[in-house]
Amino acid sequence: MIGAVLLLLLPILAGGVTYALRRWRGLPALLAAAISFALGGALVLLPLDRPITLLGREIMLGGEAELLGRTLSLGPQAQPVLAFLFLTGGFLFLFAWRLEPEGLLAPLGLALLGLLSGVLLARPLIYSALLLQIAATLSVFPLQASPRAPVQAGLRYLTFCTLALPGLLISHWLLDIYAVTPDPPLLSTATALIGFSFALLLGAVPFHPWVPAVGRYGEPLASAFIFSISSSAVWFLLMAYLQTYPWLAGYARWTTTLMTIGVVTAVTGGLLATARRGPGALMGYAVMVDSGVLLVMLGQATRTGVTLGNTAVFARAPGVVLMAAGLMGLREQSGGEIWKPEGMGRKAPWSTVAFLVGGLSLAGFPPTAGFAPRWGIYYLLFRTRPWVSLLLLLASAGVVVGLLRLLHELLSRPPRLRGEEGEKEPPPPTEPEPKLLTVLLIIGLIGVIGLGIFPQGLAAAAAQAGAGFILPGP
Amino acid sequence: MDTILAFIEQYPFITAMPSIAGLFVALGMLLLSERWQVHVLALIVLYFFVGLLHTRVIRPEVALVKALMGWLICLALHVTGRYIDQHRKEGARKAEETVKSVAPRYRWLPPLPPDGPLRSLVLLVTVVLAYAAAVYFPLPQIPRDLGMACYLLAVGGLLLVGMSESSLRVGIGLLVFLSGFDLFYGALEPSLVVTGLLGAGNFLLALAMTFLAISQATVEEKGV
Repeated sequence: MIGAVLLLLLPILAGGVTYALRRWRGLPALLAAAISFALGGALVLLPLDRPITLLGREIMLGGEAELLGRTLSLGPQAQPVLAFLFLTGGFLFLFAWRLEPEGLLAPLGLALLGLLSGVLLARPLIYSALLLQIAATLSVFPLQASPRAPVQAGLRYLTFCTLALPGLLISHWLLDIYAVTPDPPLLSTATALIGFSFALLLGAVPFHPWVPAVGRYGEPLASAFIFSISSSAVWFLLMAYLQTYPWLAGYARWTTTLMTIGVVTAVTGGLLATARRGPGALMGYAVMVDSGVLLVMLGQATRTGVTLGNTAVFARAPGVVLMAAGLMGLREQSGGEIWKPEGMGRKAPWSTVAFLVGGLSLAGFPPTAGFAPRWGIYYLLFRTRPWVSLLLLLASAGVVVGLLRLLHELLSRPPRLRGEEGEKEPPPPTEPEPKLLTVLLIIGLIGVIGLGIFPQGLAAAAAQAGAGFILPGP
Repeated sequence: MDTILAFIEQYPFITAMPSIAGLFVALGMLLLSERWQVHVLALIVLYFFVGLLHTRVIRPEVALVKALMGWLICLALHVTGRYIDQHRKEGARKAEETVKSVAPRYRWLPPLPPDGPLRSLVLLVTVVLAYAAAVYFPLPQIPRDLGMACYLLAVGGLLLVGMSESSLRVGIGLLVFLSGFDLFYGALEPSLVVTGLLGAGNFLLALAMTFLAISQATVEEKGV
């Protein structure tokens, strides 16, 4: 039963190897993508409950394994989540191969995948919290890989994640005490600590400043890693908490609290998205809206709500990855990190389309990957709480407004061509977008739209991931 | 090791209020000064006293390892501080005129920041908050004075994080906050794996912050 150990250690070791290969431009990213796809594919295709033969030895992928005296458990619930993490990582590394061949994302991203697997596999949950903190710290290096970028992204992300750690660790101890001497104040304190820690980790208002900062100042692909893979790990860790301590969802003010925080986060994100703060920040605000919607769904405390939330988490990844790849493509085409969006839509049409379609997917616009779960969420809420549904729709509309404003800038003529002198000058020579990047972006676009038209795969994986939760509702 | 333990056994009072006073001095150095050399010295002092306080709740060997890990972090911060200083001096040499024009007028004054009075007030508030918290919300499983030390470090760390935009200072604030938490959590969870993972997390945090500090220095230099 070494499947769980393999998923934790292999990516970390492979990350070290790929880091050593950094002198060969692009090779680490390709190797990281291959390993990620291999592990993700293995999780999708191989059975957990039957032995398989690997290098002449029979091994069981599923079940429990021991590492340093601690239990790592790989069950049918964790299987689709881990497969999703590794496959998303594979796509990110593939884009990194073309857009960031000398970056730190590939080697460190691979190690991060191992650590985040550990977050989902390790029991008891204090080890998950500690591994999550280490993963958050390691994320800073690829996030701030550019020596010219302001450091706010890494600084804020690390600060908020570090402040979340004590709550998770102490709540675990409080709950152990509660099991021996049931004392209601212990339970209230533990609930408050868990809620506070996850609010920090998910970027709920008022703990949201790290989300737009990561989008705005961080390397786009590393930001996408945090918004898709790390955030998913946080979400499923929260699910694990709910599974381990089912009374959390039975807390008297559970629905009201989560719904209020969720709506405020989504509306704040939607309002801020309409402001002109650059495409990176727009990605952050779109993620805030999505996180708000997730919290509202969790507040439903029903199986349908959790399944829809899981589907939305899975659907977030293709949108964010495509958005980040489009942003990187736009930056590369403009020839530097400090760039003006004016006219870039004509110079880099595929990157522009990728950024917009990714953004629309995050806003839940049809026919993209984000649409199916959002539609289900609005439908579910409209019957019971129409105002909440309307507010979430308006928040998503804020993201679409932000995208339209950016599109207007991207398609407008550059300022120097508008002036009298500029009009006399011939337009600067533009190089077409690299073919390989275009192919990757087109594959991404097909994927995002394909998942929007055929969301059954995502929904089935989300249902499997949420199957074991004990929830009061249907 | 035996000598240290024998010393602590002979003079057990040093692991009580004198250690908390030491932490207060270290926090004062961190809050009132802007020089990285003073910060590193303050952290060395802080980890020493935190190590002493640790001996009351965990095995002395583990406390020593924690202190050593803290001093290793100080070494990393020292190397970073020197690197940034060297970087800035090179930049200043290029713009020698500017440096002359902003040279301090009163060289005999100690290197205190212009907002020194406010920082002194913050230090005072930290102590008051820590004392009040230790009295009204005593931490379980540990003596009250140890609880006050935990609160002192946690509140001081948080205020350090909140009062600065500099990566190095924010990083030091987070490390101080975590050392306060570690002092409390060490008493609750004696597991060596947890201790190891917390230590690894602290060390990685210090590395990440030094990385960010160097990036910030590069950005500021290019901005100038």
